[in-house]
Amino acid sequence: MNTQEEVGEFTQIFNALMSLMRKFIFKVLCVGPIPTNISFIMDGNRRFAKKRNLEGLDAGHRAGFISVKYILQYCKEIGVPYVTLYAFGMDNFKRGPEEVKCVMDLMLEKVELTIDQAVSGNMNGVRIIFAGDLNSLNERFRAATQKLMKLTEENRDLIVVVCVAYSTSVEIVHAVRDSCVRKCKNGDGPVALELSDVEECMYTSVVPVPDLVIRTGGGDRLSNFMTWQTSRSLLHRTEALWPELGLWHLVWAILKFQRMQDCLQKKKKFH
Amino acid sequence: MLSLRVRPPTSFDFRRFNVRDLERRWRLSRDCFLSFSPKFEENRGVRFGVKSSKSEVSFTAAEEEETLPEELQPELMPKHVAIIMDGNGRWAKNRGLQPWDGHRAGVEALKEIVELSGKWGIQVLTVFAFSTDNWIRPRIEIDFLFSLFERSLKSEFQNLAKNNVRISIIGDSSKLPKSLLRVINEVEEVTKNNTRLQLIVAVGYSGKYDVLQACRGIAQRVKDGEIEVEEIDERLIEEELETNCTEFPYPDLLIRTSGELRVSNFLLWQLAYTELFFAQELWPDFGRSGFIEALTSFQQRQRRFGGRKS
Repeated sequence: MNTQEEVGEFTQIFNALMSLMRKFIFKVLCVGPIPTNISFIMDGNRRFAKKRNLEGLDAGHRAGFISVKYILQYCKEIGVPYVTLYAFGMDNFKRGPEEVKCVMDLMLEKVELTIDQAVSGNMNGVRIIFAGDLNSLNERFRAATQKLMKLTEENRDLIVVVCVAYSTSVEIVHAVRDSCVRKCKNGDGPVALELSDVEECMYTSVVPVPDLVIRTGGGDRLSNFMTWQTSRSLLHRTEALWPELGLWHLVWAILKFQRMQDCLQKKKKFH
Repeated sequence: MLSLRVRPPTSFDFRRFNVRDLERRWRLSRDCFLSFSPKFEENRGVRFGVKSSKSEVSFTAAEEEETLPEELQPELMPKHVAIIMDGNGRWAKNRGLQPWDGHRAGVEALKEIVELSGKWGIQVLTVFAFSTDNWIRPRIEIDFLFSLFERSLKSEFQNLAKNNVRISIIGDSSKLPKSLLRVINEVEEVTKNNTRLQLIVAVGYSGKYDVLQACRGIAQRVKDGEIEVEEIDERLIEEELETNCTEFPYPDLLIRTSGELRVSNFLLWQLAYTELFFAQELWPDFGRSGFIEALTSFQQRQRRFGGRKS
């Protein structure tokens, strides 16, 4: 009969083996081009909970958070510099108030957990940035996001942009307002507004545009997520629900990206 | 209408052609349906995948009314369909033809889709003809394309006007040749009261450019004191976009042919909740069956717009 220690050891050996296998796969993958910024539209949490008969409104989202941790770990191991996550859209506020509250509370819980991790120095070089209309969040959540962003400011190994209360329409409206305020002060002549002026004022201006968009849950739409930034990105969809997204899905998406990289480079040259 | 959405031809090199020779042949052939490559004539009857005998778009007399195919349900038809007509160059290359033969085939395909859209109750059809990214093409190619576009418009618009189709052109018209602009204005004016189908052709267009010009308009209004900065909202931007020429500016379905999985800067604001469909066929091969497949896929989808369907 195995003792607690032996079970622990077996798990450790197993994890080490898995880690070695992943290293090998990622080394092969890294021979080709790796996307600079991968963005994930994390759809399918509630369907997952229904499928597995999980109790609780936030069960699917909790499973989704576990998936987030694994995906971020894989991206870090591969060496992807930026990851963008579509956590909560402005249009998701249309959902039932209990569900919205549940999701907000869960996100707050996870942010506070991550703050504790950051304080104790366990972030592994991951920087977290929150993008979106943060003023529409409750006070406590907003304060937590500011704190986490401040704590992880110096980290450079992997930069994660979490889009909360985000939608492209809101982002563009905000960018237009900001650039109007800047430009309309200058003299009486016509307003000289350029693309760069608008792009500077966007929530996601601090990170490069995504090269690859992965949407889970089988839907084939952008759902008002970074439609500006992803105008030339490769759009990859998978039937797998977000909590089911694993190593192989990610590897497949990156392989697809590499196959299409030639065309992408030609078009980027012309941009 | 012309598929001007040209993919950069990989092996085709204009420098191989004597420019004067090209211009001479172009001047000789005024009719845009006359091909410039001798191969095209011999291939037409044999290898042409598209029925070129249908040279006119005709909607119905009542006795020819085409009913909806049984796979499609009338109440679930999209109101606005947008299409990125990709693959003409590749189609021509695969058949050993010249790129402009591919565009000609693309025109036939587009006519078919316009006809079907009108018959099946789609109210707005937006097609991506020429992108701002295409300006990097050689000058001679661009001039050639615009002259073809002008001739197509002139020869087809009477027909479409007769069939109650409204034509609108969106995009940055500042770089278009004046003769083309004249034809465009005339076409838009003559067909502006038609109601059966609105065909929006995007020429010199990009989604970012559209949003930027809307923002410039709004910024000017703020500067002139007409509106306050706080009054800028989504509705205001929507009103300033070029797609304000239609009642349904948001496409329900976007189709892109030739297997590319990208939006390529076509419509941006308007694509927020559009269902995307990526077809493997090249545009000239797309046709009725591809269209039915795209529409069937659309009708099976559950659209939530961010909310929940419980």
